[in-house]
Formats: sequence, structure tokens, C-alpha cells
Amino acid sequence: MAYNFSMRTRILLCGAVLCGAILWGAEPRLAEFSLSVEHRVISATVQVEGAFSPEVMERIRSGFPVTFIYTFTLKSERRLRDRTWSKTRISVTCKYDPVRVEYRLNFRKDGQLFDTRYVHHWTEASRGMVSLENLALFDVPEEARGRPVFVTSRVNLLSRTRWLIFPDDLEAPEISSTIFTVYE
Amino acid sequence: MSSPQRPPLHRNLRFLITLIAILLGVSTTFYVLILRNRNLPAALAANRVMVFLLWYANITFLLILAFVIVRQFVKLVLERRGRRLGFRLRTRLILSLMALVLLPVLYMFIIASDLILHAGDIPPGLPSVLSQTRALVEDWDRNRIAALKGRAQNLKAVLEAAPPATWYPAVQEFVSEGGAQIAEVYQERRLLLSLGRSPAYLSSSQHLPQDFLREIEGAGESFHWSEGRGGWVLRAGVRMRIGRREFQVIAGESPEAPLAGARAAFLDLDQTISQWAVERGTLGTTRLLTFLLLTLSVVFAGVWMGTYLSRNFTHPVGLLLEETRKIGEGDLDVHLPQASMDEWDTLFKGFNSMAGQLKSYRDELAREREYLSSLIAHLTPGLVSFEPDGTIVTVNPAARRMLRLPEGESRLFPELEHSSPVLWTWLERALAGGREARGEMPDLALSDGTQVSAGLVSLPAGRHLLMVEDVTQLIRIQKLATWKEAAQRIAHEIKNPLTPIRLHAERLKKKAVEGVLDPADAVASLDAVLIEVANMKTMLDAFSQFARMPIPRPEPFDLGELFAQLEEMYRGVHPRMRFTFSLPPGFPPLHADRELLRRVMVNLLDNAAEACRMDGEAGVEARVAEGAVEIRVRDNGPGIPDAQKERVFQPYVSTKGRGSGMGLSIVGRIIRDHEGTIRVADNSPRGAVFIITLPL
Repeated sequence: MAYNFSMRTRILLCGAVLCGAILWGAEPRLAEFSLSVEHRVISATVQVEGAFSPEVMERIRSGFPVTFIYTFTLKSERRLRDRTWSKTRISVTCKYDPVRVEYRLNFRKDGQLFDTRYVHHWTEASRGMVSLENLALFDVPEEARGRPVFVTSRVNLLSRTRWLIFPDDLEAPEISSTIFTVYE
Repeated sequence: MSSPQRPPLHRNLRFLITLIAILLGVSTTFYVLILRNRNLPAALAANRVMVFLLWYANITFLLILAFVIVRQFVKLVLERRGRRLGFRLRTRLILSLMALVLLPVLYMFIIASDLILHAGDIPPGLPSVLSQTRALVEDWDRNRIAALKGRAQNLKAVLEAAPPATWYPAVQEFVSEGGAQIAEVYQERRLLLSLGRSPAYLSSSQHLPQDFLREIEGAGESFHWSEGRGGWVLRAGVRMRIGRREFQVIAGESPEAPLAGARAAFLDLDQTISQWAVERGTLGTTRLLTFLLLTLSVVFAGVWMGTYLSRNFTHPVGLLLEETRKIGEGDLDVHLPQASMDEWDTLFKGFNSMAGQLKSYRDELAREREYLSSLIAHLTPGLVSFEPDGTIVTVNPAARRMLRLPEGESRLFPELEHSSPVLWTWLERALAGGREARGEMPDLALSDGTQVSAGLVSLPAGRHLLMVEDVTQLIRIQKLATWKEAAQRIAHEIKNPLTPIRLHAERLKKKAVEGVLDPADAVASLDAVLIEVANMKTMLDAFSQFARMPIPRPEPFDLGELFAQLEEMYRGVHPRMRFTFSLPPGFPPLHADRELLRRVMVNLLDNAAEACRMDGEAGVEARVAEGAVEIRVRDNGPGIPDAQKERVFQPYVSTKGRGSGMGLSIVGRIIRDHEGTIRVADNSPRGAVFIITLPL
């Protein structure tokens, strides 16, 4: 079967494919999510792709602090509702100082500051915001040991309000690890 | 009180405020719970809650305002359809007050909201200027940093060429020769040596962040801005590796203070403006929401106050109108409640008092009416009040019986025409006469032989009152009494001449018996007897004339002609008497029986001549007064004593001491038959005057 599209149709199709690709690509998502367990401590490595939307970039460049909030939850499967064993929230706050020409990155775990970094280049700053590497998240509780568990992760990139009343968060969809078991 | 009491205003307000507070609390809690579930930071959640509260308050106010306004309009429409009393006043009042509040506030809101939304607008040329200036600053930064990195590279070359033991003098020489204002060497991020000739250096060299050194380590080069008491300091560092040891070689300088300060100030301002550009919409909307909240509060307060005031004003008016309407419909059992405002309370109390007095009067009137009805019902005379068209207003049983009006009959005529034609004829004539009239027996002898005395009185509002009295028995008694009196009088009058007749007859008999009858004496006695007999005949003729009094046949005639005839008749009859007759020119024709009126005038003029003993003056004059003809007959005789003035028109009463005493009685009878009146008064300066009034 031979297709004979007109130029106009071709342009429209190309435009639609391009827009779809841009929109799909613009959607933030979590990638390269991996876990490691050592001495019953679960550490995670994860990256966010497509995190820096124009809105996020505008806020960062204007000097507003922008916080990415990673939420990790240790769960067990149940029929109706999964059981939550532990939950940890990691927040990375980036604030640009144009006078010093540097980005300050504050890392917090459940609200407690555990690291601060100053970088001069946006490449380093953006990498620090979207990439967590082998970060210790939580101890596996005693009750969860020996049970099949899994870890979910999601990240909130920007909290905003549409029409000043409806909460609308820019966030990556939640992803889950494979089910595993932590023994003694 | 017919209308239900309204709940007090403060109770409504309390209910409304409580309802709003509950709704606000529930909604906020619900919203906060949602936010908490979304794992947001507390500050962000609080910010959202605040914005939400603003929105919520605005929407709540809007809804309440819309509810209040719509409710008021619906009520006004319903009141208008129901034609409720006072709705026009209420409509005008509420619409006026709402317009007074809404229009200026909405106008101000439109103006002010435009100002608020555009208050934070960045001037059109500013972003371009900022962008160009920022590019200049960044270019300046890059050049500075590049220059410093070159100096650091130079220092690194100096250090690499010299053994570590001589680094200090080498660096000292480097600085003193102008290689850099600041020179620092770190070994594995620990300070090895530091030299500088800038004042800023002294306050900035001790606190270099590890990240800066770490970045030199990692990236091979980096820079760092720091601010101390001496001003801004810019450092640039490069990595130096000697064997296995890592060094960070740093060259720094303190730019000229005004330039560095201006740069920092500009970048700060640029950041502030950028932040403002990002948040302008949110901030403007938040301020607009706050202003909208205030506006709505004012509008709500105004509308509420307007509604409250109009209700406070129109509600009492409505009550007053409702109760007034009831009174108008005859229901006097009204009572207005106590009002909250003094003025209304005073008015209501006055209204209640007035209604109470009205009710009291009405009850009293009803009692009086009942009493009068009872009295009239038990009265022997018959009373009928009726409208001009004959509709009976009031009738008592005696009247129904006498006039033979059927029970339930509501009209006097034409029913009367069939039941009592004689009375109807009289009534018709009396009504046509337009004045009070009275009929007496025997003219009003009804068909069943009953004789009635009737009278007609004009009442207010064109009504009439017909009074009918059954005088059959009275007339019979009067007739008996009259005949008895007449018999006694005739007997007395006859007895008087009989005595001289008997005396003359006895004297003639005695002289005839004694044989001494003188013919002259006999003639004299017989003359005396004949005189007495003639007197008796005269008296009997008078009685006969009174009994044969004809029914008047009135017809129009000229009174002047009658006066002329009388003047001609009395001329020369009594030489020493002077008779005068006076009539104004253009005198209207008189409606009466001419012959009977001539007899009246003759009778009165004869009486006047006798009163003056044929030597005096008698005058007759006539005039029109108050729709009637007044005829005065005066003399200058001795006059009539007051005690006899009322009795002179009764039969057998004479002021002359002789005669039958029937003359004035006949005069009175003729005048009354003409529906006129006659009375006697004193003449001035002396004598008597008879005043006759006849209808025209």
C-alpha cells in the first residue's frame, strides 16, 4: 500500500510527533532507581530526568530557593492496601546567589540538614539536585525483616497553586523497586 | 397580633456567623489534611492555607451577599405579586439603599483593582536595560576571573620552579612585585601560606569554604567571591600537583570599593526584580483578593445594613397598614406589638389607644342602637325611615302594622300606594313639597277606617322619616270631648239668653194675671226677647259655619287684587277707621284658596276694627321671606295679653267678652289647611299683629 501524503499533512504530522516528543520528554520521571542493602540499612540511587521545566528554571534563576523533595517508602504488599514500614523524605534545596555567582545546595533528611554544597556552575548544581547516589535511607525495622518488601520513590519538583486555590504539584510519577527480603 | 414575631437580628447574625465559622473550620481542616497527605513542607502548606482562607472568605462573602441580595429580590417580587401592604415603599427603600452601597463600592473596586493589578508592573524598558547591564557585569566578572586565574597560574609557575622551602620568600616577592594582591597556597585544602597587601585580605582570608578548594581539586580551577569588613574580595585558584601532593594555588584581589559595591547592589536589585517578575501575578492576585475581601465586607455590611434599616422601617409600616386595613373592614380587634424604636412605639401605642377607643365607641353605639331599636320596636307610633328611592332603612312593627307592609318588604313605595292610597297621596305631596308636612284626620283616614296622624321629617343624607300615629281612638275621644264641650257651650250660650227671656215672659205673665199689662211694657219685653232670640240665631249660625268649613282648593292668584278688593270693601264702612294695604312690586302669585283667604282677611280686619272701637288704624302688608309668603295684619288697639296669645285660635275663646269665640279658630283652621302657620304678637308701639306664613 502506497502512502501519498501532501506537504501540508506531512508538516502537520511532523509537528504533532515533535510536540508529543517534547511533551513526553518534558514530563519529569525517575530513572536508574537502584537499591543496596548493607547491615540492614537500605541505600538508594536515583536520578530525575526532565526536572527542569521553564517554570523551575525561572524560579532558580530569579534567586528563589527551589526544593526537590524525594520520598522513599519501605512497604510490604497487602491485598487492599500496602503496609508501610518506614518512610524517609530527602529534600534538596537550591538557591542561586548572583553576587557570589554560586549555587548553594542544602540537603536534608527528614528535615535535618546533613550536607551543604556551593557550586559555581549550573551543571554541577543541576546534577546535585536531580541525582542521589547511594544515599542511606532507612534501617529495615525488625518486624519487616524476613518479609518480602519493596521501596517506592517519588519526587516533588514544584508546588504551585492553580487559580490560587487548587494545589498542583509538578512531580515525577512514583516508581517501585523489585520485591526483596532483608534478613538478619 | 396576626403577623408572627420576627426573630431578633442578633440571633440571625449569631446563627450566620456560627454557620460560616463551622463551614470555614471544616473546609480548612479538610484542606489541611489533603495538603499533609501530599507531604508538603509546613511553610508551603501554611502559605497555601492562607491563600485558601482568603479565597474561602471571598467566596463565602460572595455567596452570602448573593444569597442576601437574591433573597431580598425574591421577597420583593413575592410581595409585589401578593400586593402586600407597603411593598412599594419597601421596594423603593431597599433598591435605593442597595444602589447607594453597591454602585459606589463597585465603581471604587473596579478602579482600585485596576490600580492594584498594574501597581507592580515592571516598566517596559527595564528588562532590556537590566539584561544589558547584567551582560556587562558578567563580562566584567569573566575578565576579572580570567585575569586572576592567569595570576594564579603565574604563582603556580613560581612555586613549581622553586623548592618548597623557599616558597614563602618567593610568594612574598611575587606579591611585592605586583603579581597579585593576595596569594595563598593550600595543601590538600589546608592553608600552607598566605600573603596579601589588600586591606580586605586581612578580614577574608580565614574563612574560605571547603567547597571552593574542593572544586579546585576536582575541576582544576575555580573562583570565589567573599565579603569582609574591608570590602569584596575575588579569588581564583588553580590546582598544582607536585609528585603525589595536591596543592591549591590562589590569587586574589579586592576590586575598587565603589565598583564592587555597585556590582553587588545591581545584582541584588536584578535578583529582586526577577523575583518580583516571577511572583508578581501571585502577589497581585493575593492583594486583589484581600482588597476584594474588604470590598465584599463593606458591600455585605452595607447591604445588610440597608436591609436591616428598610426592614426596621417598612415592617412597622406594614403592620400599621395591615391593622388599618382591618379597621377599615370593620374589625376593631386590632393590637400592634411593642416596637423597638421609641417613635414607632409611641405611634403604635397611640394607634392601639385610638383603636381601643373606636371599639369602645362602636360597642357603646351598638348598645345605644340596640336600645333605640328596642324602644322604636315597642313604640305605639309607627316610624319608617327610608331612602329617597323608597328603600326602607328602619321600620318598626307598629308602622308595618299600620301601613300593612309585609314582613320582609324592603321598599316603602310603591307598596304604600296599594296598601294605603290616602297616605301615599299625602306622602307624595309632602315629598314633592320638599319640607316637613303633617297630615291629620280625617284627611288621612285609611281604607280600613283607621285614622292616622302622619308627619314627615327630612333626615341627613337625603333620608326621610315618616311618623304615623293611629289616632282613631284619640279622635273618637276628642270628638266626644268636643261634642261635650260644644253641648255645654251651646247649653250655656242658650241658657244665657233664656234667662232674660224667662224673666220677660214671667213678668208679662204676672202683669197679665194681675191685669196690669201695659202694652208698651209688653212691646219692650217682647223686643228684648226677640233680641235674645236673634243672638241665639247668630251664635248657632257661627257654629253651623264652623262645622261646614270647606276643603281648600288652592290655585294661583294675585294677592294685590285681593288687597284691592278688600280696600274697596272697607272704604267708608267705618269712617273713623283707616285701612292700609301694602304689597311690594312684582309680588309672585300666591297658591291658595282665594275665597278662604279673603274670609281670613275679613275676619282679622273686623277684629282689628272692633279692637280699635272703630276709631283707629289697621294695616295689611305682605312680603316674601325664606321661600314663603308672610302676611301681617296689625292694629293699634289695646293688644292681646300674653296669657291669651296661645289660646286665641282655640274655639270658643274670645277677647272681646262677647261673640261666639269661633272667628280666630276658623282663621287658624283655614291657615293650617293651607299648610301655613299663624301666630299673634305685640304691635309696635301698641296693638296686636297677626303673622300669617303661607308656602309659595
